[in-house]
Amino acid sequence: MKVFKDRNKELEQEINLYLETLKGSALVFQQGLSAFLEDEYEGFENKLGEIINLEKEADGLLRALVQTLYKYNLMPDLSADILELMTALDEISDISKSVLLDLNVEKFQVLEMLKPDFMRVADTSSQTVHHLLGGIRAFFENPTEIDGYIHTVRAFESEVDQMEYVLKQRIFALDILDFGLCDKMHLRDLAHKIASLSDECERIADLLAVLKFKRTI
Amino acid sequence: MDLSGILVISGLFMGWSLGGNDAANIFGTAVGTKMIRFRTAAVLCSIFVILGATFSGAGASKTLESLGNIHSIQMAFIISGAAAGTVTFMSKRGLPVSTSQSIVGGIIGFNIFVGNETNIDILIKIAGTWIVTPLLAALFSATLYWGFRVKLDRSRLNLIQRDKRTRMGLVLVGAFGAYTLGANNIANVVGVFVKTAPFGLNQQALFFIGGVAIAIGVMTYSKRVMLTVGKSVFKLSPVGAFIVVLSSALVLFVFSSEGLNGILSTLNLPQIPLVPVSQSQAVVGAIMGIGFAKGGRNLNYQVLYKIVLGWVLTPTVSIGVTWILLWISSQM
Repeated sequence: MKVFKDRNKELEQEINLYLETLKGSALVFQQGLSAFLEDEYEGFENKLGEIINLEKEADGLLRALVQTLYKYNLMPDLSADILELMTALDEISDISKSVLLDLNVEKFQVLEMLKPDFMRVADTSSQTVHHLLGGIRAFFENPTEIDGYIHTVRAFESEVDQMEYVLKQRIFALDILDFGLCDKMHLRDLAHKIASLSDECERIADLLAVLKFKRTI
Repeated sequence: MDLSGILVISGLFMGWSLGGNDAANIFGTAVGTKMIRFRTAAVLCSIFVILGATFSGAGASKTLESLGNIHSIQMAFIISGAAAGTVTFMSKRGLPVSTSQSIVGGIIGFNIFVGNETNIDILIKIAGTWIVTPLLAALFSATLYWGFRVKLDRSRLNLIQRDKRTRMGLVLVGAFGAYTLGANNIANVVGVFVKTAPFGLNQQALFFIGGVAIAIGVMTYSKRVMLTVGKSVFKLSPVGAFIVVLSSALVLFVFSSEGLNGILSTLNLPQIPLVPVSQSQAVVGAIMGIGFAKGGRNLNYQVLYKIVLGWVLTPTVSIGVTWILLWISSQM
């Protein structure tokens, strides 16, 4: 019967599903970028379709868990903070989708010599997402582990910043015929978009660092 | 037809006032933070306050009876009315007031007026419990706080599941708190009428009626107070609220349980005086206890000062008001 339904369990399941969806979108982002860089256009198109669906699914799950949280008045002391956290996480799937869509639309011409650098930035950005999601789970399940995840996210984000800087230097140091300033700026933008995923993760990690204090009794 | 029994109305008014104000100490934070709906809290509180008053109110009432020999219902009416008036007067002026301390002042005022000797041993016991109440509550809450903190840090209980268990816990301790409120404070409501039992009522029936008066106070007057307490000065987490309610309920239980005293007696241990104590002061003590356990930051020493002031002011004002009313009544 509906009246005896465990709403707390329902919320727990919705949050878990939401986090899994975000984890999936980060993985698909990584795979999509890899397919693009390796000129596997069919694979890239598949991943693009997948990430669009995942992003839509994440939006739907976010709406559902917010509804559950407020409709049944669960965790009233932390509901506003959880809402802020979950809403911030939505940016991850948005950015992942946005990058792959831009790849499809803007047809970036990534030179062969730069592909490993782009892939490294993408891989490390994805790692940032995985550790952030680990931190979010720790917030709900094991608060003693939150700090570890936050430190890792910040470390990875710094690494991505460094890689992005080096990559930009390499781009603008190129002296190739038919590869002018606008091509370089286009690639610079791509590097920045990929790195923005880790920037967003760090921002959310900073929010998590504050919220962990509200976890105490 | 002897309608003098209607004079018990002053006690019932005291009960209504107690219900309206003290229910907030039990369910205020839970309702104010929306962990429990007001309707649920009010129904639970009412049921358990009546049960506590009816089945466990005798212990604390006996102590009050031994403080003064109130031999007429008219006297009981005046004492109860004076105590209720003192509570209302001081509350309206934002002064610290305890129903328990007010009724004790009323009985002493009666003793002074009729020339009876007040049992000093009993009085010292009663005054001692007033001092012990916030301290004991602080001890309970600090201990419970440390215990819960260690347990929750070590357990891998999901935060969302913790919310569910906290909610259930607040309902259970709220019921326990309401029971002990009824058991401990019914003496303040109708204790002075026990020897002059109106309408031939036995003690338990009298306590039941007093309990109903408290319950009506809870249902009709406590919502606003609950919502105010819930958003009050010290912001407690739901687990913190659970600890505070449990600690204050344990204190009231200790000072009203004949069963516990029976066990102590069997074990040849000292008896605990069964005395009506201030639930509000127990709650303040419990909140302070958590404050100390957290390192003593953000403690409001002004509140402590007000409690100490109340120990002196409340019974003093009540003695004065009772004596004056008895004197006026004797001139009529």
